[in-house]
Amino acid sequence: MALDFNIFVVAFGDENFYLDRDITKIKQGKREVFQLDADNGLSDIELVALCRQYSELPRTIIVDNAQKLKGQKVLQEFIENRNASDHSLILVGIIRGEKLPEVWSLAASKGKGFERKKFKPWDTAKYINFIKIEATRLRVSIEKDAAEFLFQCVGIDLYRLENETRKLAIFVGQAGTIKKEHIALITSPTPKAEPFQVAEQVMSKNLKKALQLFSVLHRNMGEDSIIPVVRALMNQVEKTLVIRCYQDKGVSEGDIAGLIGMKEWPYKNVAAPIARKHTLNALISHMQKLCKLDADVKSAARSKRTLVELTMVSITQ
Amino acid sequence: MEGISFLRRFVDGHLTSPLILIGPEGVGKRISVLKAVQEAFCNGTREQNCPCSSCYTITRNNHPDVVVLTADEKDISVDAIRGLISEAKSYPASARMRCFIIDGADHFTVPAANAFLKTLEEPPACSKFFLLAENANRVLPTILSRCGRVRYKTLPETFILSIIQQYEKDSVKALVYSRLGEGSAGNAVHYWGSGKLALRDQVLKALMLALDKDTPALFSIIDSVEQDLALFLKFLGQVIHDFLVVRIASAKVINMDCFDNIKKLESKRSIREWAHLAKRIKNLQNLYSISRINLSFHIKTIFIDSFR
Repeated sequence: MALDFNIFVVAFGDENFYLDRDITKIKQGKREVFQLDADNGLSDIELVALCRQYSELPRTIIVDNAQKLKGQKVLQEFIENRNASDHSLILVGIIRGEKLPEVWSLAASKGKGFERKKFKPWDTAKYINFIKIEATRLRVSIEKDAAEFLFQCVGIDLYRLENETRKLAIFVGQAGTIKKEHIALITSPTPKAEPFQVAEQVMSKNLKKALQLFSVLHRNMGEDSIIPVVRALMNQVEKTLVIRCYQDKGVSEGDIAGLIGMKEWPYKNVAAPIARKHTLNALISHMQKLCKLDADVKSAARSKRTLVELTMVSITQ
Repeated sequence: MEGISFLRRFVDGHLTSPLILIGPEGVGKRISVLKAVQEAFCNGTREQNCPCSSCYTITRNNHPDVVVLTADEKDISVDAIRGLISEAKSYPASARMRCFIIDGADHFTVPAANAFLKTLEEPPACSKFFLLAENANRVLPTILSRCGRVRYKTLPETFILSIIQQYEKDSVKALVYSRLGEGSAGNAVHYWGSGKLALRDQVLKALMLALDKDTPALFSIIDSVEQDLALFLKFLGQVIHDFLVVRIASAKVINMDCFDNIKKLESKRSIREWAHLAKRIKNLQNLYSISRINLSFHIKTIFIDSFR
């Protein structure tokens, strides 16, 4: 970021990795740096007051989460009156999101002395390029298929991609080449599992698959996976109960699909067979078990994972 | 008035330890504290509409030395408490001391409560703390032991009715709103202001659907009141209460405006079944007060299980 020639810098987009890296870069300069976070209720009046304070050293003020800044009138006035040749203060707005707020858009559109950086969502080629750049930065090289393999293993998390590349660079040593087998040796792959898949397998009475998926999810997300899984189980049981009620009343398949807002094909092939595996009384009993589980996982109970697994076993019986 | 003069003695410095005011929502905890502070800080006549700058700013929540910290939907965080502690160390701007009102002492996170202990133990000389809580059981014992306790009871029905009658011309509806408030004037006025009888009607509709075993329609009604589920549960408890008393003490029915409907629905199940449902609702309310459970799912389960 060419800080020395700009008095306003607006960086925005969805890629937190680059936004954070920009903040780190700015902090490394020779200027006096203040970092503020608009997430803590910062208002434009407070920001402008800080910008106008006298200081002997040239200063850089970074406003993180600038999209959450309260008010904009005072800041807008400040931006409009700012002299582009005055480099005693550089104001950096970091906007974490796709939409650029009006006041920062004004700063970004002023022309000379104002810089705007946008990070767009990436395609696969860009991620692979990122891995290669990281490898070069760490003074190692990486084979093309190895970079692709690493991307397949880790996914789109740039923080993890950077850390895994660093790990591999240490493993192969300076000026070494990262190969596919190195990745297979030391990188833990991230297989995907979603809470709704776990719930679907439980309701299909496929216990083995459900436990496997839950295990993957738990490894990826840790204890944070418990509540989404319980929530998904609740939704699935509720949906199945409604379908079962309609089935018992003799409503036609096409009508049921319409009533529950599903397309006919997924209803016929997924939802309806699941509902046929459970009786109404069994579903009510599942609801009671899930109520107990919900209360347990949101309390200080120990081994919540086991509690979820026990309920899954009980539903699939 | 006695309560306010007691609180004023505290503001004036006759009592030193912080106070915790415990009582249900809407019984006047915050109003009485603000009134006591207003009387203590007043530079004028100390009457209802005193024009002095101090009274003027307090009534508009604008006084620099009266700080109110409220627990919103979430808990009171450690950051909010640290901000308050650092503010408590500063000197008052215009009054002789600073008053801090923390509305939601039962919503402190554990780190927030622990961060606050030292300040409660030895409050700065120029600062007074009022902690307001609805549920004493949810306040950490270490906080309770450092504060003088003042308990607030629920308000009498006649008093709440007299307030509601100032706004609601229909006497039956005024009575229903005052009873729905369950001793809380704040709640009764809030229900009246936001027309919560519509939500109560949804409760009755849900009961009818449950009795008819129309599960999909029942679930969609519960989903439609997603934002007001806690109140939906409270009203459900009150309707079941009406089912239990309608035969033996009909004057005590809360939902007087739909008396016939209550009677009709009540006859569809035995008293024993209604009593069992009332117990389950009470247990669910207790559980929800201590844990952020998925209330919608729990209510659906109660309905579907009780009327199967």
